Amino acid sequence: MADDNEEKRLRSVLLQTANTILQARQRAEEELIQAKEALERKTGELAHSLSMMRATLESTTDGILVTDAGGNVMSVNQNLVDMWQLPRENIETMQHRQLLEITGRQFKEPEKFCARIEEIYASSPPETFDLLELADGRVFERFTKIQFVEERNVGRVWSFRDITKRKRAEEELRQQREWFQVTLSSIGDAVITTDTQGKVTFLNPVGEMMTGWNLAEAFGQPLEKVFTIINEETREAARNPVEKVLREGTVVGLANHTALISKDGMETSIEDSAAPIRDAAGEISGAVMVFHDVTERRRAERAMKEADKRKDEFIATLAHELRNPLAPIRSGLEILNLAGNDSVMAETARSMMDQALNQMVRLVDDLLDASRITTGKLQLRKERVELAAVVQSVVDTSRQMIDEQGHKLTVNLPAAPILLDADPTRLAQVFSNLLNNATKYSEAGGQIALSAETAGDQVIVRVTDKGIGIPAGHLGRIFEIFAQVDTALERSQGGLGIGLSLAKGVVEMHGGTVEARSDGLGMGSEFIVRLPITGAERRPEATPDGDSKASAAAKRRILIVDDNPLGSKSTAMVLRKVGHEVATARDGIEGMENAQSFRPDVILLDIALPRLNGFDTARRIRAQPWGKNIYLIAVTGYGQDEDRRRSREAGFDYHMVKPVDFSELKKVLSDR
Amino acid sequence: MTIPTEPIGSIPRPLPLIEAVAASGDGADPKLEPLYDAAIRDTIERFEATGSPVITDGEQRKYHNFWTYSVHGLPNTAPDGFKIPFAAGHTRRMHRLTGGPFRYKRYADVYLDVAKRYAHAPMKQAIISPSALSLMYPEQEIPGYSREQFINDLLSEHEIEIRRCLEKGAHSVQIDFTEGRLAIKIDPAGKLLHSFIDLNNLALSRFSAEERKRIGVHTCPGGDRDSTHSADVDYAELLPGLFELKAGNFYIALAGEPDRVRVQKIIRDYMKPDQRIFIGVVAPIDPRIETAEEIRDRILEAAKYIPIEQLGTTDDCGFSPFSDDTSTSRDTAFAKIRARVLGTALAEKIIGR
Repeated sequence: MADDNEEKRLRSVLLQTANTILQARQRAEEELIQAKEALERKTGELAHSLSMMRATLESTTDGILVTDAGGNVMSVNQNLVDMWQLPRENIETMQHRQLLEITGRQFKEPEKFCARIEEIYASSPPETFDLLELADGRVFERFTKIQFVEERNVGRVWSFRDITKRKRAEEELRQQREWFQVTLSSIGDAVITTDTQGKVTFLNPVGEMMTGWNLAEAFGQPLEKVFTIINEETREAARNPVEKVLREGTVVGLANHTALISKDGMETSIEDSAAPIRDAAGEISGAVMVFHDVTERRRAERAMKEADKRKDEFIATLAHELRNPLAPIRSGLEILNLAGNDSVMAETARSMMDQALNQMVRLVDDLLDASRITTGKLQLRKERVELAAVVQSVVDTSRQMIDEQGHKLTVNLPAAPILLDADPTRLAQVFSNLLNNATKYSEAGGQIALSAETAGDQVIVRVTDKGIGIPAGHLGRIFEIFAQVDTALERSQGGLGIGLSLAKGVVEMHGGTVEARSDGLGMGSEFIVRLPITGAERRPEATPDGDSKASAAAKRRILIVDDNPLGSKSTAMVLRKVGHEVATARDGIEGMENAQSFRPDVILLDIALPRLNGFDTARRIRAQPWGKNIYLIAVTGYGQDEDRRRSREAGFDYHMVKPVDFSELKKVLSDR
Repeated sequence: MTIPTEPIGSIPRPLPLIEAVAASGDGADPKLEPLYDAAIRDTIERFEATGSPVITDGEQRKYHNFWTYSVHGLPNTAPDGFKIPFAAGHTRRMHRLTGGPFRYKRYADVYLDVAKRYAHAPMKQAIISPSALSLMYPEQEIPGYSREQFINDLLSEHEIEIRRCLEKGAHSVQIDFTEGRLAIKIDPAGKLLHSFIDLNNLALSRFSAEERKRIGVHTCPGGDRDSTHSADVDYAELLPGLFELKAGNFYIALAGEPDRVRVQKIIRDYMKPDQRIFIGVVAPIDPRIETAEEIRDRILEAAKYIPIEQLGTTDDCGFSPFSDDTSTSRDTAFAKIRARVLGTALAEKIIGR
């Protein structure tokens, strides 16, 4: 009974449990159906999403590969197939490793390419980026990203982008930039570029040197900080031109007299201009400024102005100085006109005119010498000379002037002879100049001293006076050409102001030095000449040309060819006066004709002739049978060795420097 | 080629342990721990000595038996549940649920924790089916805890137990479904069986296909004290429904069947392609120790009906499903197990040629 009851209860429990289980199963089936329906919906949505994804994959220009966590290919798009030249069939059943066998072959180092992919699989980074350079020159960017679904790694997307064209463009742009920078770095001017905000973007090496900023420091700085400028005259800050360039888009130049202040405070005079930089669309993308140092140019301009001023002053002085001797010449001529038979008056006039002429000759000679020294064409005729002889000749020449001024001259030379290797004429010119200056620039009754002493291998010659002295500010320029102390006395003495410059040039050509000393105006002056001594035996003085044959002036037939009628006429007068027969011609052609008809013994032939110059005339004369023995004398203002050589080559027998020295001419004619 | 061979699970406990437990009256008495530990260690050593590729801890720690270990000691149960009659005339009584919610007292993975300290071979863990425990809910509805709620909780607890065992590294988890044949005995129409199968499938559906490859179902006529509770139920009534279970492995008692060929044919007709059938080749209730050759021959016979890729061998049942069962000695159990292992190896050599 109890067992029956238990069995009934058991059956009841089993039945109830079975019903409960059935209900549970039905619920589970219902849930399963719902889940299935939801799954079908999701599958449909997924299919749609996959279609959209497929369409998206195919629409992108990138090559796309999708792999699962196990490295199996899940999906590819056509671009990937094309980029890598993959076989389209069965690709989505392949393993990624199989694809690598095809893609890896397209690299120069396939193992490196494959190793990187193995590394990505092994280390599983969330994202990767690599640049791939294929053997055929193409360049790809490769992005990969892990795909997570509900925080689970379900695979990776590999995206490839062909950037070959972009890379080439970047490379071209880089090369252009490099060329541009090299060009800017190579040019001699400073270059600064800025962006549209006026911030420095480039500074070339010249710019770095001038501003004191290097590019790294200057980059990004406001321009006014790097390029600090002031007005040189007002010393006030100046605005940089880039502001206007950026604002107005025009080319701008800096105002005059601008100076750049470098980072360390150095000031440099500059000139510059600035212009806008425009992009391909014509929009302003920055500004470029170019500037250069004009310090030397400004200095040269100032020096040129000063030189012009001094030149103008010199010309004015020259004109004045030349007029001085002209006056007594003109007066002398007038006296001669008036003298009649008064021989004393005539002689006085002649003497006066002679002196004036000599003065003019000296002026012209000095000018020519100054020019020759400046151009390096002055030539010395050195020989062994004794200092005392040179000094004596100078004293003799200057004696008259010294005595006229009432000065007392003391000469103090060592007893032992001092030998120099020098051009006696030029050396005499130096001492004469110093002595004459001392004479000129001392009040009447002054004291002048000329002394010499040896010091080692030098002789020191001093010319000292107690005259007007030299101001301290002028001492440094006393030997400059055209320099004169602007005092009443000096002005009264006239002169071109080139004597000391000549003296300095000649002394330096002898290997010596000259200096001036003075305690100031009214305190006298001392000029010190140092010259190297030579130890050689003094050559005996050349005897004056007294060995030449004393000859009576034989009568000659002399043709004067000169386009200066005054000069020609006056020379002819002199020659006729001493008994020669003289003809004249005004140019080379007339000279030829007259030479042929007149058959002179001697022809004084000017060189600078119209129609046919003197050299050519001489050659033509020599080419004539009647011209071979004619004594040709070249008469010219040029007396250098080169000029004499040209004369010889042209066929001249003698070369004479204007103005004609009649005693020299007389000697030549008598020697002929 | 390899024919997998696995035990069912239980090994007779050492007598000192049985006596100590009986004396204590409480299988969870902490004083018994050293004895449990020694029993488990000895069991594992002897198991591995048999050459078994897969072993168990002999369920030495399961108290009181394979059916009630998970609920024994629950405060919301009473010991006066339904009785299971055995052919020998004795009965075993189940627990009765007295209140909700239903929760296991212990999950079988705790046995793995101990066993893994000593085992070198892969460990298998046997657990009770939810259908067996479903009989705990009484006839009258428990106030505030419906049968539906109980079933839901039961399924959840069963799922938890399986997952814990799998996560602990169990080679496989075997669901003891001995109530299958009993269900037919109780309800020859098969409705009860199908409800049991539905209930087990509701649980098994919560596992993936991969997980289910490591989950098996054991069915037998229910052995205890060399007796059974449903050996008289024809396999033909059970097996078609049995293979509807969504398990990967089936451990089917066969050695004790009078007509194994017939059963093997039924198995052949109803088994599914993704199921492995472990046939019982030794009978725990038979005190005679089978020879390896006998077992070899049984396997070769089965291979005629069951594809060799889906064939495995096992014991018909555990050697001591109830902890106090002393009908079989430990020596006999291990000798039979040894014979199974050797016999399976002999069959492999022949089939592998």
